[in-house]
Amino acid sequence: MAIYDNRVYDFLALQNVKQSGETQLGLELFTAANSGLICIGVQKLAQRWLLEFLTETGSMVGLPTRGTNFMTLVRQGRLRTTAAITAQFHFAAHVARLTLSAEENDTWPDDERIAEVKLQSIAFLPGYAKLYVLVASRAGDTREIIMPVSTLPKNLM
Amino acid sequence: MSLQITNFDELDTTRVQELLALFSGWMQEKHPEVELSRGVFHDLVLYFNSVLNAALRENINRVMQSNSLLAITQNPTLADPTIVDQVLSNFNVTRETGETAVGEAMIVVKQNITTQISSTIRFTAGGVSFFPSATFVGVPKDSADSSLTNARVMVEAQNGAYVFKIPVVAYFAGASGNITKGTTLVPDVAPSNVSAIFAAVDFIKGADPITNVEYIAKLSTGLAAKTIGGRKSFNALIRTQPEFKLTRHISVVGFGDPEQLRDQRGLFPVSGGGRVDIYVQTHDIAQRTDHIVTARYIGPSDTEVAAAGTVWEIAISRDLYPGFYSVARVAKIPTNAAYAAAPREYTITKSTPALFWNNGEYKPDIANIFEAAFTRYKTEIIRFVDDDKKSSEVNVGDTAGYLLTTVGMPLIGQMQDFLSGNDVRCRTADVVVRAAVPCFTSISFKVRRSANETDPDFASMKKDIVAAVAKLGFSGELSASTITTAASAYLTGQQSINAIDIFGKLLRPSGDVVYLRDPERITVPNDPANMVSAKTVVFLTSVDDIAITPELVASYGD
Repeated sequence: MAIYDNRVYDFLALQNVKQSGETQLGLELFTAANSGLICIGVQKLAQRWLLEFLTETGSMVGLPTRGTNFMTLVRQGRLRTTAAITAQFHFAAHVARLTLSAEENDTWPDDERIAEVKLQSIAFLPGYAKLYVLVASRAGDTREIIMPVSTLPKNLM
Repeated sequence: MSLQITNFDELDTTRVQELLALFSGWMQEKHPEVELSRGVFHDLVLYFNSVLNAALRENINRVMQSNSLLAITQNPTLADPTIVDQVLSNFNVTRETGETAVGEAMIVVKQNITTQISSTIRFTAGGVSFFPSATFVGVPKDSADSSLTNARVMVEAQNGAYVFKIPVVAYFAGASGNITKGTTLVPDVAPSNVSAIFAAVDFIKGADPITNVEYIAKLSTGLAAKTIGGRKSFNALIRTQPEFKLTRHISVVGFGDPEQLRDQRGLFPVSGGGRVDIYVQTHDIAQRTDHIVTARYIGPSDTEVAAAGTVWEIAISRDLYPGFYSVARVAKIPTNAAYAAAPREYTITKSTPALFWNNGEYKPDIANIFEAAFTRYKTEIIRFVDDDKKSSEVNVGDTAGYLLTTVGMPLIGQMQDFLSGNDVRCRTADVVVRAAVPCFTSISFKVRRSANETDPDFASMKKDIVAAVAKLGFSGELSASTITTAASAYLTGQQSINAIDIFGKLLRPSGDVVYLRDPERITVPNDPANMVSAKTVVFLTSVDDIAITPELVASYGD
């Protein structure tokens, strides 16, 4: 627990995180096996970036500037090619990074401050695409997130 | 507005942000180790808590707003009707949820035989349904059937037809049921022997449910004591009676008011007190009512006028139309609606008003005919010349049926009887109810429009103008702006109103007429010696009194 001393923690929302290899994450605050976990460091950063990236701009009452338009395009089924996904990902990731950077300051630990986000690869499967994303902190720590994204409009599903 | 929010979009974003900042501050103080910037706790706990709290507080705010008499009074449009009903019930005020219109239908039958009008029949006029208040039977004069329940004796009309009247009621509540006299009533199933049915009177009492704004305006009558006393108390006493709750305007003239003449009969020109005149406007317009009356033959016409024909006399009892303004016409009994609008009329040659008291009833202090004007105590005998009947055809004393049309304000008799009732009657003053002194008002104006525009909805425009004028009550002044404000809601594009002419015919209680005319406003003269002032006079107009002339103007360019 010493690593939590003088740190500000967040709830762990992405359950089942592993150090290496692909694993399906559970988006839940607690499970049958535990009553909720907390996190700090790059894991907290990855969650923070993911929430910002996947939030649709305008969907939060009172916080109209938060989020990106990436999931709006996904819902509309407009991301069907590598080029489209790559272009829109980079645009949205840039917006998310600017938003996160704006709320950070020098009192924050480097492993919780955003440095860069890379789209490493895209794999197409029937009906959806898997995005391999690497979130890096200023301390050099990284987390890889695999995001399945539908390639069909939501109203067809 | 709903009492509860139904969508987060209804929330004030500033309120959400304020709560988010507030809760963040509280968390920061209590748990500085928890991340409060963007993250899982912020987005899934703190943020949603703020949103839901904002919704809860908004709901509480709305309930409090509706529950507060102060808030309701300041902005009635924001309050929930159910809550407002509950709050105002504490002050003995109840909401009027609309009233059905009532009136009389003239039934024209082909043959002088017993004719039944079932209560299940439905009449339609102008998209509004009506039904008889009971099953009625029209029976020939002197028929044995006249003992039947709800029997109505038929009166001979022209062309061998016969007529009788029955009361009818609108099926649904609403002001649209106030149809005008002469309107054709179309039955869903044609009764046998019936050739035509039409409205014998201007229908009254039809009213739409009132809004919160109108409801709040009644609060003062709820708060006022329902006793004889000040103006508000008279107002409250009258309006809280179910029969009179739709009374439009009331003006109480009593001690110290120069228009109160009944307490100034002493040697000195001062008010002695103890007399109260209540001027009321019970309906938006003056009601025209057709009565089937019996006239008595007096003699040949040359005894009174040079024209050929015969002179007949009708005694108008005080109960025929209590407080009526005037007799509009005496005519042949029409047999269809179209003819009802312009039947064969006869010249009235003489009118003799009188006072009449029933035995044993309470008698207010009314000294002469002038003081009895527009009250339920006035009767009248009129003579007219029927130039269709020759003296050789009738004998003195013969009787015949005629159509007599009165113009008046309804419910005057009922209101006087109520206030004269032993349980209600004021013991410190005598109270006389009068129909408001009428200023029958004609309005004309032009609506200018370009050639590529269509005329606005003139019919609706006229109705709104009538309603706007009716709202003035005892204001003493009818301004052109009242008319243009009501009419301008229907104007579009380049349309405009001009050449307004307001023409008022003020019928004084003495029977004299004063004419008022002006393009900008007409003002009631201050003539208390004739019971004429802003306290006694109302402006009355109907859609038939409004003339709108469309005028095309050149339009250049787009």
